[in-house]
Amino acid sequence: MQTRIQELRKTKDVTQSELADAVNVTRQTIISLEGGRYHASLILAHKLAQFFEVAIEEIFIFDQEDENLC
Amino acid sequence: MLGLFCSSKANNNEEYRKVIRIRMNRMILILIVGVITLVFALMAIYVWKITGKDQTLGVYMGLGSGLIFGAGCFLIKYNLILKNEEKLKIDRLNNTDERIQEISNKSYKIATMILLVGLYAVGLIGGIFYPVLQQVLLFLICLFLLGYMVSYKIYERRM
Repeated sequence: MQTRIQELRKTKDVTQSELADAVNVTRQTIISLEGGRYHASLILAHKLAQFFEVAIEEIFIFDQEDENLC
Repeated sequence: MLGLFCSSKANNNEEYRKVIRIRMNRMILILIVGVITLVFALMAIYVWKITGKDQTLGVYMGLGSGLIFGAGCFLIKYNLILKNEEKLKIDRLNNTDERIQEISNKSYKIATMILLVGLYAVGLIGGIFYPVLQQVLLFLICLFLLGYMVSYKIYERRM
């Protein structure tokens, strides 16, 4: 699964710390999410989608085969 | 690093304040257990005049003072956190962050596996020299597995 968090964050001109504060996680979690090392829970994904005012699918790009979605 | 049994679901500082107060109460309980252990060891030495159990009583005294010291440190730490909004927020995030909680859960699994293997090995090898060790450690493994099964069944009904 890939994410567009970094891209959306830069578009909105928000730092990792500001985003972390907004969605109630640590900055390290944002770094891990952006690096693809950690997969967000549904609640966190929802909070991120609300923050960026987009749909969850626009932030998280699911790999059909890897996530067994075919 | 998230401490053992420290994860929380508090959404804001006010909710987390309550969590901290509950933890402080637990620390007071641990402090009391420490005092009881220490007093018990001291009474065994000076009142009941028990002799020939120096090592055991030394362990009790160490345990008691360790619990008092540890609980005291945590009480001071929690007091400082409660007085400072910024520290409270940082501590809340460290305790509620889902990634940190997942890391903690994975660490629990590995630590449990190491503990079980360790208990089994000590029970098996140590049992040759001290048969009671074998019985105690294998009983502990059974107790762990039983505890797991019971809690699994309880959560299975709730979720």
